[in-house]
Amino acid sequence: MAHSADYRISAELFVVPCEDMLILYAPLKGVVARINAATAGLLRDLQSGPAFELNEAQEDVLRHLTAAGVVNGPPDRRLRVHAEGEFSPVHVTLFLTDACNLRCVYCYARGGDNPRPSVIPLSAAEAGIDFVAENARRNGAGSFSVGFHGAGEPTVAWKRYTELVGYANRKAEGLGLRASCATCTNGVMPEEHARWIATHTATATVSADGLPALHDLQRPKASGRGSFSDLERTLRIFDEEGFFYAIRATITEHNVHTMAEMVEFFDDHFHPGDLQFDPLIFTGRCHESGCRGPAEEVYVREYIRAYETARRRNRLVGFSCLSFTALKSFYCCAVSDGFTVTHDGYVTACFEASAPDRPFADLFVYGRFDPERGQFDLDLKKLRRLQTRNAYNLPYCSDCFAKYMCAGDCPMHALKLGYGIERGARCTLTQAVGKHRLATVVRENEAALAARPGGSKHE
Amino acid sequence: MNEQGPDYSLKNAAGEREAEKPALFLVKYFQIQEADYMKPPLEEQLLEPDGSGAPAVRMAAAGGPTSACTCNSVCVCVPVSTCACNTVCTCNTVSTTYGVTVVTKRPSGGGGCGHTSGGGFGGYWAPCF
Repeated sequence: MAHSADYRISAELFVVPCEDMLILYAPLKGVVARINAATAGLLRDLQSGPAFELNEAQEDVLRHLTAAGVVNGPPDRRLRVHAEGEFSPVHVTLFLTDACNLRCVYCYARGGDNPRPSVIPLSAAEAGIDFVAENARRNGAGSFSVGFHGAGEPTVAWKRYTELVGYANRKAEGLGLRASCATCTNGVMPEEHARWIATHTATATVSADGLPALHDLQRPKASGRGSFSDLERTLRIFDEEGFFYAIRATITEHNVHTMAEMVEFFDDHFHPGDLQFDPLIFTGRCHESGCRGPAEEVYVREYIRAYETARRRNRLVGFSCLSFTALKSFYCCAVSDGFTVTHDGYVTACFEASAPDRPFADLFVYGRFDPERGQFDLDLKKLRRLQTRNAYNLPYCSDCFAKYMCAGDCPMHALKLGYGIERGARCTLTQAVGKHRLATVVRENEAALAARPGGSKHE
Repeated sequence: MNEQGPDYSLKNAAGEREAEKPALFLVKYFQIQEADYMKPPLEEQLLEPDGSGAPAVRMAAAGGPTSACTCNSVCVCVPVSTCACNTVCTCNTVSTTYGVTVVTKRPSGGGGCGHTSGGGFGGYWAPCF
């Protein structure tokens, strides 16, 4: 008879109650398993209890887990963290301007409020592109990328935008590289601009908050009029041109109940590559508008409804806290190699900390462009400190099954909500949605198995 | 802050191993690359336990849709002509039931091909956008 001493746990394992199931999850082995309490007890005792003899059924279970590498396999490999090596980013995000043609009721950056908006100096933007292009050449990356983002609407600074797309492409061509330009936009722009973006850049994320009336409520123009009809025209042009774009919706207390309908609406009328529905964090202009995010339990319920609607259409709906099929040790560029040059020439790791007067900017703004020397002055020690915030270094997250799904979540959100930087702010949401995804994997595979000729249900 | 978060670890698992016959329905769920344009390939994310195997360059090729989809051999996520993945799709899934081993393909399911999430501006790099 086999003995427990013949087996050892070789994976980081979590036992997760999901709906009516008990799920064993080994993220770093890529294993999800439906188990019962006896299997959980078996594995727990195998890991930490005194030695015992195994019966035939226990041995059989362990044989399958051995085949999956969860038992008697190699140790888990570690995810990459970003504290090692020379700072050599190959992606730069450029904040072109703080001017904006919309006045979204929740805008974290209060885009458009500045009566004297600025546009990023050409020299600073080009220096940022030069830096990442040179890194790509030196590292043999083959390509570099340029993102165009806030703090206002980047396409409002149209001349600068087109100059920089052209500059990036020329720079790449000169170095034998490929440049990829991506834009985060509200989609409110002249028709010819939309067509130019679709034919001159690689991808975009378009902010769209759903059904037209709700979109107009949440994303009015500076004039106070709705912006949906402009957005719709842009999306139609993108679709005509076969342009790859994602739709990103901010979910508030107003549109949370329509999330599933939003999936149908976007899928029926447009052709976005991706959909992402993120709950609003109370910040920025919310203080004046009073716009609030949804209650957590409502968001979870409606997200799941939207997710299942999307699955029936062979789509997914993303949620920024939940990278399920991709392993993740850090949440975002703010705790990695974030290199963002703002419209005022500052360098920041976090998009929300776009200027020294922004909340918690002292943690994230780590440099500035010096126009005299044409160079960036960077405090890389500050960046290195941020890079230590990852799934391996957050004690709060150490025993959470979702630790490689959210990797600690957004540090800025956690700071704003008073949690400190050592944990995430949306754990309840992440865990609830994560459990649903785990259960979905099991359910879908059980269904697929049952549908096979001679298929068998699990014991 | 030294607060401890939720405990889903094995040491906290409830259950008596002898109380009933142990059951297992196991899904080998490949960890796959989303179509996020900044997403490094899986092999570039993973280091060996001793820290070796780290490539010098972290970022994968950037870009949006590609006409040279390589997932046609196994992918059932989306029609190949619309697939926007930049790498080999591994959306097939090997399932093992207790006592029976089969191989199945999941119909789509969370990444690898065009209908993933977060593949616009930010994706993996800036998931909020």
